[in-house]
Amino acid sequence: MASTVAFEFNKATLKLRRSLHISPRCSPEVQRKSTAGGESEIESPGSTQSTSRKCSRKNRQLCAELSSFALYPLFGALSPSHFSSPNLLFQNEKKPSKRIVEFLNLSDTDICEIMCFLNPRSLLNLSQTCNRLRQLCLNNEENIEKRDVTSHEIIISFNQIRRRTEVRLLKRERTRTDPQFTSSNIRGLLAPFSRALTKITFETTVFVTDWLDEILQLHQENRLIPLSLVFTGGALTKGNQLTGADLRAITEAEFVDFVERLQPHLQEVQLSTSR
Amino acid sequence: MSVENAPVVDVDEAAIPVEKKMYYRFESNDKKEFRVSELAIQQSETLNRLVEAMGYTSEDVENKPAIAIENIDGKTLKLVFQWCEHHKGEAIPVDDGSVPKIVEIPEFDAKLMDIDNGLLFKLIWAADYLNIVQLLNVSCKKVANMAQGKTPAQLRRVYLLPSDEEDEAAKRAAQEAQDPRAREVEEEFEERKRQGGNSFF
Repeated sequence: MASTVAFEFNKATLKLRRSLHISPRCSPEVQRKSTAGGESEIESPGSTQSTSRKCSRKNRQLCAELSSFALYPLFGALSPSHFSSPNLLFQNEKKPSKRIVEFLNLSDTDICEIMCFLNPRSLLNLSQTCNRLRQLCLNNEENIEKRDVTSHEIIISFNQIRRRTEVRLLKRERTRTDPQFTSSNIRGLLAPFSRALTKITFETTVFVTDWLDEILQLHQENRLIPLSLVFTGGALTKGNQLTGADLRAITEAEFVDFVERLQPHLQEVQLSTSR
Repeated sequence: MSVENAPVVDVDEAAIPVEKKMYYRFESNDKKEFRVSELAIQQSETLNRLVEAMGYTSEDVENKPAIAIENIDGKTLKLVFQWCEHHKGEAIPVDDGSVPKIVEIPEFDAKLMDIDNGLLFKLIWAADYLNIVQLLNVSCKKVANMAQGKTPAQLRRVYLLPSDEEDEAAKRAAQEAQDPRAREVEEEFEERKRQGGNSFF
């Protein structure tokens, strides 16, 4: 009995709400249509997409409201505490946006100050929260402590199909299913807030001189620490045609200087190339 | 002459001229007044320069109106001056650029900053505005400690950060609030475009 009364009461509330509801759908034009043709809100096949979307949304809402009333006597009888439970279904409007965003009210300088105290892991997590913090973290990367990453190695090779040199980042102890990351430069492969301690392999037909500046630059920025430099290709030499990583454009003195600049981290240099 | 054989001179403490402590009066933006010692003010580079430029004497301090700090409310300013009074005379740290910064939060500071997040963020803002290096360091450290070891979802809850979707929705809402007719015009334009109209006007 009580649930029936509640049902009737809610039905009356629904009628009142719908009669007072002000929305674009209740614009004078739509109202005129509805009074003129009863069910004329159902769009004709030639009607526009936006109006049909609006209509379907309205129908969906109406269905939800009506179905809630249909189910209410059953659930209402089972749980008297949910006296006004059908009304919950009406609250499907957009959530109000959060009123206070205090942390983001701080200036960029203050947020950067806070970031200086965070460890790399927390910083990475913070950068994943929202756009502004992500940008701040990336812009302020050089002033932030970096996490050492030793799990990958860099391979620079010439792609014969695409006819261009590519840099690949591969897992050190990899399987066939492990993903590989490819880019046109080394910087594009390095993860943010990390320092890559890695082996760099120059494969055959790669002009080594093209990469020296970038390696030195990244080393200076403390983003890349080459532990081993491998210049491959000697075994691929056929007849008179020399192959391997191309070191012809670099003099011995320049090469020694390059290696010296990577000290004290560089542990190994393998010169297997025939060029 | 050795130190042991030096003559002992009785000092009449009353005869020593006691240096009179200089105080300054400051007023927050909600009209609360604070009296702060000269030594405590030295912790803030901004206030220190300000009082130096004003060149107030003890009489001026009493006769002239309090120095207004328009951007900081009374509650925050009280915390700032409490901190300055406690740390008066201490050396101001110099930033050596080391990352991560190594800062210890003393017990007094930890108790002082045992406040809600909103006030803590205001304290950071005030420390930055008044250029109080050590207060900025400890308050930033306190906020950073709250973030250590938290996942992005937890960080959003702690700092009340919006997600990317909420961020974009808020931007759109702000744009619409600026020009409420813009969306209607856009919809009308789209509709006319679909109907095959070449020009909108």
